[in-house]
Amino acid sequence: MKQNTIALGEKHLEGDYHRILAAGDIWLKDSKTKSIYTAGDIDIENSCIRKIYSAGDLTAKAVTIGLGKVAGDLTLQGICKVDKLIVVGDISAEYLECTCLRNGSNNSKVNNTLHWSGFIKAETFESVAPFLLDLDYEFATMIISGPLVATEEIACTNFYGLDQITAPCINADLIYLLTNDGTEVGELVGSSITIETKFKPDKIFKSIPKTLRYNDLYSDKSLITIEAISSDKVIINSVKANSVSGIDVVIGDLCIVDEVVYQKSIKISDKAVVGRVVKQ
Amino acid sequence: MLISKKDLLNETGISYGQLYRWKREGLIPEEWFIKQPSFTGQETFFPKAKILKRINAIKELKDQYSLEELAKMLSPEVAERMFTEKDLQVIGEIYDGLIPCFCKVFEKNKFTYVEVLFLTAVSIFYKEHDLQLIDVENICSGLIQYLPEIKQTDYLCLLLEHNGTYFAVIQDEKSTVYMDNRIKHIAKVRLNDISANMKIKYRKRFNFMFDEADEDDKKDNPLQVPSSKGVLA
Repeated sequence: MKQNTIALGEKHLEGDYHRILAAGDIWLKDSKTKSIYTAGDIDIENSCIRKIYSAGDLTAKAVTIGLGKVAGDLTLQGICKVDKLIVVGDISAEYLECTCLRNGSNNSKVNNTLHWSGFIKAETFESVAPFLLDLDYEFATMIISGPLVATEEIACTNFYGLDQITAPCINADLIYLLTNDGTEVGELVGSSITIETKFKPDKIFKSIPKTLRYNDLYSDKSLITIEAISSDKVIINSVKANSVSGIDVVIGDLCIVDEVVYQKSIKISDKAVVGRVVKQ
Repeated sequence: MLISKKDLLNETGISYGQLYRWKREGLIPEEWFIKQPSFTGQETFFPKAKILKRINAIKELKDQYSLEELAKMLSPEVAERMFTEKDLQVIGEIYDGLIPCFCKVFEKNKFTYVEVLFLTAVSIFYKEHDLQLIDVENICSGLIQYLPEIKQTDYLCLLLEHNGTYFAVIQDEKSTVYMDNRIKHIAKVRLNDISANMKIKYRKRFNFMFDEADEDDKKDNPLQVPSSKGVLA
């Protein structure tokens, strides 16, 4: 029968456990464990953990984790897989694969910008804390609800920018931006681009695996600047853009656009200012 | 000669979404998206001959292959590259002190991908089992002739020892080998594991640029990519 264990000082553990409660630092090797709660740092190797809550740093090599909540920094070696992972600190990963990955906790504020490095793959990446996207990644969906800065093109399938975004380019099939003061994006490209002042989750968004709820969010209704927008379907509001190109284009309220190029249909709000309209 | 994005979409009949999805998937190299100033800020242009050829190729093949498979066909794999002595120094798993020994035994300073995987396996044995330099030389000399026959990575590399002498075996993963029990089996590494690790860890480092070769070299085949002229990023 699997045992429970309580570790008060530093402890080296091996084998299978039902639950581990640790006040100090622990080292765990070759283990299948249901849950670990630790106040100190933890070092795990070659193990499968269903649930881990760590208040300190987590160092792991070749591990599989169901749910991980780490308040400290995370250092991963080898191939590590986590179903749901929430990390408040920095990550350094050789290869990390997650279903849902979130930086920062929803109820505790992270002021410093997190720095993650290595290769990280996730079905959904949720960014709650200030974040510098400067790593090798493969994210299918990105839900950004904290300030995000990217130095290179952001590429994913679905991108939801619900906070301040700074990036040279966002390339995604579906791009949704909530207008927020300070958002500066050079180019938006994809299949469907929507920029609104109120975010109401649609069916696609609801079907995406995630760890937080994002119910009716409102922007500060700032005018955001995007240099160029190119997409099959474009619906924008409160945007200042040099050029907007699309197949079906809707230029909504409070937009200032120098040139609009459309293929099939166009709608321009009375409350928008558009320089030149070209049918392709 | 360049073509504007608008003209490209008109001429090929593809959508914005397709164009940028193919860019994301690596089917169209980023270098081909050339920004030029226009009166509305910037406009995107492409090298006309290259992009038209590439898009036509993608359109023809996209129903037969997945985007991922197409990306592999269009983007050079690490497996097709030659690795220089300098490249070996970048690979952390290969012990720097062994590189001169590898060059000496192989009598060259450029290695194929399979050779790099083998050298990595030998480096692991060297580090983890306290081999001597002479053991490494002997192991490499003993297997060097078989390496060109290995065309994929589903192999195991075994380290054996008998009477203080080390030997190595490269064995198909699926085959069963019955070893004389007087020979001591010391260690085993999967070339697939080394390969997976390499591709993850060094994918940026060894990501070769597209279309470095002259256009004339591959006029007949729009999917052909240069392997010998690839440049390490």
